[in-house]
Amino acid sequence: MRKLCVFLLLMLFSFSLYAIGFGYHVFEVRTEPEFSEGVFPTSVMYQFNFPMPDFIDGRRTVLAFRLDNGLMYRYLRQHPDDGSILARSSYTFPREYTVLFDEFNLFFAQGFGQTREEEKDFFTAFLSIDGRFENAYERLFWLTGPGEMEGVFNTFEDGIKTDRFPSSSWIGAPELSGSRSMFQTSVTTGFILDWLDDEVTRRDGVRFGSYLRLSPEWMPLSTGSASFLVSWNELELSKTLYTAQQSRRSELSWFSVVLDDKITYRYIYGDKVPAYIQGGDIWGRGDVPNTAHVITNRLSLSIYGPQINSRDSYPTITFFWDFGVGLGRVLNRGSVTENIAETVGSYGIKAEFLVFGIIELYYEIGCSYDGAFSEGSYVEQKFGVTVGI
Amino acid sequence: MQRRLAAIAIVLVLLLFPAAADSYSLSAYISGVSSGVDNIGFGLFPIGTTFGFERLFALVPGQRDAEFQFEMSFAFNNSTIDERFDYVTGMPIWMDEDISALSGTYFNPRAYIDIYLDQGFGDNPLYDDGSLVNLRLGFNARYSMALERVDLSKSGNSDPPLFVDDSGHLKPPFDGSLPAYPWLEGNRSVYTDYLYLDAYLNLDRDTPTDAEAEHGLGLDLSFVYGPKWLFNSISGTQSDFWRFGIYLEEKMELFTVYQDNGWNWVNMYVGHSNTFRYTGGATVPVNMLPEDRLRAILSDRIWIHFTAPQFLAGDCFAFIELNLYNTLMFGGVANGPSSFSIELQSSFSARIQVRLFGFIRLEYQVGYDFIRGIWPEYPDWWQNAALSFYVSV
Repeated sequence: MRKLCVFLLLMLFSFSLYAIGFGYHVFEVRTEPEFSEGVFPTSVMYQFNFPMPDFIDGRRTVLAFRLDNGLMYRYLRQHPDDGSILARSSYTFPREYTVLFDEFNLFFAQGFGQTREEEKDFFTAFLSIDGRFENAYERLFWLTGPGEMEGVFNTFEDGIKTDRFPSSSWIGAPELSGSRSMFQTSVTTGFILDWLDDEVTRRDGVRFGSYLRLSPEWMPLSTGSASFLVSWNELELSKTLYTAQQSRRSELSWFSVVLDDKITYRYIYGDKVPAYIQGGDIWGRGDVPNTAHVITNRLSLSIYGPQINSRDSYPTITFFWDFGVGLGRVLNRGSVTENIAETVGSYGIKAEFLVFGIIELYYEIGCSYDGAFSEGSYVEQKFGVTVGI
Repeated sequence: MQRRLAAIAIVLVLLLFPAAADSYSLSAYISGVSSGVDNIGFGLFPIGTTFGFERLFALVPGQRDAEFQFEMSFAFNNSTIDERFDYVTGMPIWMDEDISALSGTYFNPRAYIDIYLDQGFGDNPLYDDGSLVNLRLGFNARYSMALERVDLSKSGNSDPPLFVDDSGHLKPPFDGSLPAYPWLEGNRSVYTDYLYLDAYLNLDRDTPTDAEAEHGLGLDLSFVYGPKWLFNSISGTQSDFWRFGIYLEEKMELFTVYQDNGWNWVNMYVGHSNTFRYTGGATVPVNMLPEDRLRAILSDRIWIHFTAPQFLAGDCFAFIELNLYNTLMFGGVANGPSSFSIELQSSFSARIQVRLFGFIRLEYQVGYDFIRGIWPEYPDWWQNAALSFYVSV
């Protein structure tokens, strides 16, 4: 029945746009270091834009279907039985695991007000219906050698595979309960205020976005492994400190220096908060803890240029400083109320060379100087090639 | 590191061509999806995807724009070991019934990157915007892993691992050399690549939506080269092969009845094609193995194609295609003995496809295999159905 409903939903979406054809965009192509050392793609996010007339003359009206699918790595961050934080001293097993995922969003957006750029709206409001499938397994290299027999979900004792956490109810990671597969639907609404001139190697202005995602347990088609509300607020500030234009082609630059700051605040409420909603991301292995209030900030200075024969082919060096804090009640703790204030921090340098906005060659070195829950500081470096757009 | 350098070096060399261009356009497309293991997304939503980017730019003065394409693909689902070949000698079961066969299913995450540059020359007499001859130079790199089935990690599953024992050591025969299955040796993380060169002769009409009747002649000469020195021996020799192919196709429109708006009510055409391919080399990677592993393939196809009325939009239509295939396979066995073997396959198939709005394809096929040569499968009916999505903008 569920399969039939989803199929009918898909067909309904497709029949509503029969007349004119539609556009298609790839937003992001991602890699995972465990798969081909991060060279080949493991997931992609793309979007179909349905042809829509602009409801307000000159302001954009968008109806689109977005898909994000593939494979990703995650870390178990809380003990499944009681939701207590897995700090360094409280686990002795590999925490990483693999997730196959598929997320879709059917969204409508309407722009209002003019900016300095003709194609951009000052204020955009949007509403979307979302769904997300996930299926979790052990990490890719599980069972590939004598040192790879222990998994996050399984352990080998005397050569016999047994469940590491036999409970069928996983309070600390609700989306991993039972067969470790889930499907959750949600409704999202929000707005974007955009006064940011983004010229690839030059940025000036400010952009603020805010959205609210509601995903109670009773949402249609949901498997009941998630129940949450998240308010996500993001402020971006950018200032071009210096730029030198190419004399023969003024749209290209020889050299530019841009200062950026991006601060994100998330408020999360709910008793079953899946991993894809939790915490916040900063550089390094340690994400911000799964708390009700999460703040992350990245301050960066980027040196671009020169642009080589094309706006989207250029080298960049970026110096960054990441800071995060988890405040308030720890989520997914069941009936236990635990309040914390935990900070994380890191800094580093990234050198990259972008070719046509598709291929990126990069070298990155960073230092996590403040790990969550007394995780030690460490330095990591990466070198590789990724593809994306 | 070696494979990174290989990918980076070749990507950069091919990127020099569009980098030298003054102007170009970009388009993106997506095609081919798979729903992965355990039918994630109820089997309807994609977990594997093929997508790419195309750029057109002026390369040769006085000729049409060259096309630069960068295509990527990934898929995360299971594969099954072909049990018909001895894992050491590569001997097929029809040459020796007493073979040492491997069997089992494994998780096979894999991805590839394909890059090519295509330049047309001259004018196609049947299509104003087409070239008479196209030359295409490309590079294909593939990465795959052979891992234990992912359902082994599920609670309550007590199936033994396929590749390792309870202590994690490789089980026989995976602890030794597997010449017939090199991708299952060692740590089973495999990188392979090859270069290819295609030459097309185009004497046929353009059919932008596939709803139009096809008409004309096409010839394709191809050469694929994946030697071991091209970074194909990073973890043992995983590829050392070459392939030559020739494909000739002739189509003739029988009739077309048009609607007032220029769409088709119905049309019909017949076609005929011949293919010859020969695969040489000591080690052929799994994605380039010829059917039944016999090195030479000569096939003949005759088909008749009937298109039903276009409705709602230009790219909404259905077609029925009746095919008769005769395929002769012969020569030595790839990744196996050089002794001669020969096989004839004959089959008939009926293919019905409904296309909606350019991106939904519903397909049903039914067929009958008359002859399966020396491979002891009896004449049999078969059928399959598929729903797929395809977008090209």
